[in-house]
Amino acid sequence: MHHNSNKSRSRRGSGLIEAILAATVLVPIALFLLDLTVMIIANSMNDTAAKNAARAAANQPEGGAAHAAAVKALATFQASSIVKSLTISEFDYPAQGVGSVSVVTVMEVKLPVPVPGFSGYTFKAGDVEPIVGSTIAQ
Amino acid sequence: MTMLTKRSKRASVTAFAAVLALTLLVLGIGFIIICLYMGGQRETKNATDAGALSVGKEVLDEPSVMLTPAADSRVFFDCTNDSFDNSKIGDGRVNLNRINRVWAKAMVIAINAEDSNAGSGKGNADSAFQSAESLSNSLADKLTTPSNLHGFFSNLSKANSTRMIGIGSATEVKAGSGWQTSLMDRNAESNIELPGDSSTGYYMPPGFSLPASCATDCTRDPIPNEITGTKFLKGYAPLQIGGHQFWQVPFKWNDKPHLVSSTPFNASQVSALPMTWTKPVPNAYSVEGQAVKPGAVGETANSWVLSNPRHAFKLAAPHSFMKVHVDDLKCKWFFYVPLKVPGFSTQDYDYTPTSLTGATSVPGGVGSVSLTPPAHLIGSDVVGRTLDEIIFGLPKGNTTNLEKYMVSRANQMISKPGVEITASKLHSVLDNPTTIAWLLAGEKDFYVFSKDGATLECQPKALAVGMAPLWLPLIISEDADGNETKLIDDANMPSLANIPMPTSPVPVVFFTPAPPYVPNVSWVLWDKDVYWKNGTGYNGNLGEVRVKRWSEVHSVGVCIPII
Repeated sequence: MHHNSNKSRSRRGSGLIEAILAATVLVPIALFLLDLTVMIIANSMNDTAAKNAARAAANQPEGGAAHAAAVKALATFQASSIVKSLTISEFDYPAQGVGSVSVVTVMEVKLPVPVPGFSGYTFKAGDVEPIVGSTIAQ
Repeated sequence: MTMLTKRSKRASVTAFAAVLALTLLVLGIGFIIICLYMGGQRETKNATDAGALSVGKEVLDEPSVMLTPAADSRVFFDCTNDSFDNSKIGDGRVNLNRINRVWAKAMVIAINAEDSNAGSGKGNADSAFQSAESLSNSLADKLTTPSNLHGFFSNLSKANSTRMIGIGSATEVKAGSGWQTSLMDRNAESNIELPGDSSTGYYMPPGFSLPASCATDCTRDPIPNEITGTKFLKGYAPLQIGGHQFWQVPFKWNDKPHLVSSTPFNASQVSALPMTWTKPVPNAYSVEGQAVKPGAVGETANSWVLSNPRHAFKLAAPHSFMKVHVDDLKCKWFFYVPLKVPGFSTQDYDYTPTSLTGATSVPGGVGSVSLTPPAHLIGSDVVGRTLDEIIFGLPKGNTTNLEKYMVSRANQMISKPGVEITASKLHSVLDNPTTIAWLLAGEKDFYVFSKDGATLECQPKALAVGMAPLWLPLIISEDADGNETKLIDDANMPSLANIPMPTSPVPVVFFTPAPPYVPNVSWVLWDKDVYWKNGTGYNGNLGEVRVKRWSEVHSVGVCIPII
C-alpha cells in the first residue's frame, strides 16, 4: 500500500513537472502571439487614422482648415491602457493648395504583456492624398 | 508491460503539449498572415484610392490638345486659361478643364450666326463648330488612352505605404481592363452658366430662342443657395443650334473630385448607356493598381473616380468686342416748292452748336423766286450728350432690337459667373461722361469690351488697346462678319432747342411774301438712323453699331399775289 502511494505521488509529480514544462513553452508563445496581435491591430488602426486625417485635410481649400480637419478626424480616438496616444507628427499642405497633402500619425502602444526591454512600441504611419478641396485660382 | 504503459502515458502528455504548442504556433502564424494579408489589401486599396483621386484631379489639366495657328483653331485661344479674367492670357492648351469653354464659345458663335444678316458669319460658325468638335475628339482620344493617365496614378499610389505586403513594396499601375472611362451625371449641369434666366430669354439676340432642352438648374440636392435660380448648359445632352449638335461635359456645381462606386460607373459607360455624341469626353475614370514587392505581386485593387474642375464660367466669347461708330453729323436743308425738295448744300457740323445758314433755294416756294433760309443753331441734338444718348437718345425710335443685340453681345463678353449685364448696366457703361469729351474731340469709333471678364468698358481705340494690351490690339481692326441692317429708320422729332424762325422769300412780280410763321416758317428736325452689322465673334468682333445723325432744316417760302 505504501509502495503504491509512493508510485502514485511519483506519477502526479512527474505529470506536474510535464505540465509546468509544457506551460513554460505554451504560455510565452500565447503571450507573444497576444502582443503580436495587438501590434498588428494597432498598426492597422494607425494606418486608418493617417488615411482619415489625410483625406479630411485633402478636402479643404487651404492649410489652416486642412490641419483643423485632420485633427478633427482623429478626435474620435479614445486613449486606453494599451493605445496610449495618437497624434499628428507631420503635416504638409502646399501653400497654394496644389498637389497633395501628406500626414504622418504617431501611435504609442503599450504591450499587454511587457517583455523586458520592450514594453511598448511607437507606430508611425503616413498617407499622401491629392488635394481635391482647393479650386484652381481664377 | 506496466512500466511501458506508464512511460507511454508520460510521453503522451509531452506529445500532447508539443502538438498543442505547434498548433498554437500554426494558428498564431496563420492569424498573423491573415492580418498581414488583410492589412496589405487595405493598404493597396488605400493607395489605389489615392491614385484614383489623383487621376480625377490631374486629368483636368493633362492630357491636353494644343491649338494650332490656323484661324479656326486660334479662335479658341481665349478659352485656354483657367480664369474668367480676360487679362490672363492662355497657354493654347485645351484640356478637360477647358473643353466646355471651347464648346460654349463655338455655341456663342453659332447663336450669333442664326441672325438673318449673319452673312459670312454662318460659314465662320460652321468652321468654329468643326474646330471645337475636332479639339474635343482629340481630347477624348487622349483621355480614353489609359497610358496617358498612368503617371497621375503612380505619383500618388507609390507615395502611400504598402509595408504589410513587404519591405520595398509599392502600388503601381495594373494596365488592362481595369482602366475604363464613363459618362456619369448625364443631363446634369456643366460648368457653363447661362446669363439671366428664362424670363430674360438668357439675353439671347433678337429672333433667337435658346432651346429649353439646353438649360438646366443645378442638380445637386439641395441646390446651394449661391446658385438658386442660376441656369447652366446641360451636360451629355445634345445642344442643337443651327443644325449642329454642341456638347458639354457635366460637372455638378462645386462638386469635388470624388470616388464613386462601380455600380453607377458601369451603368453610365457608353457600352451600357449609348450616347449620340460620337466621341464623348469622359468625366469618370476607373483605375486598377497592384501592390508589388520585388519578385512578386501582392494585392490588386480597383477604384472609380468622378472628376470635377470646381469652377464655373459663363457662356462667353471672352476676347471679343463690339464697335460703335458715329457717322459725321450732317445738316440738310429742305424747301417746299410746293413739294419738298432738298437744298443744294449739305453741311457738316460737330458736337459744338454752330450757327448755319443753308444755300439759297431757287425757286423759293409758291410765288417765290428764291428763299434763303434763316440761320439756325445746329448741333443741339448732340451737344453734351454721352454715347448712350447719341445711340439711344432723342429722337428715340424703336430701340428694342438694338438694345437686345447690344445686351446679348455685352453678356457674351463676360466670363465671370454670376455677373449679368442688364440693359440698364449696358446703358450706364455707354453713358460714361468721358464719351462726351471724346465726341467733342472728334472721336468717331468706340469699343465695348471687357478687360477683366467681369466688367464692361466703352472706350475709343487708343484707350481700349491700352486697357487690354495683350489681346485687343490683335483683333480690334477686324470687321464684323455679317451684313448691316437698319434697325432705326429715320427716327425724327422737332428740335427741342431751336424755335421756328420766320422766313423771307423773294416774291415773283405782283406777289408779296405771305405772313411770317403761317405759313412762312423755318424749323429744325432732329433725325437718326441706327444700323446693326451682325458679328458672330469668330474674329473677335461681335457686331457694329453705326449711328447716323443729322439735322433737317425745313423752310417754307410762300408769296401771295398783291391784290
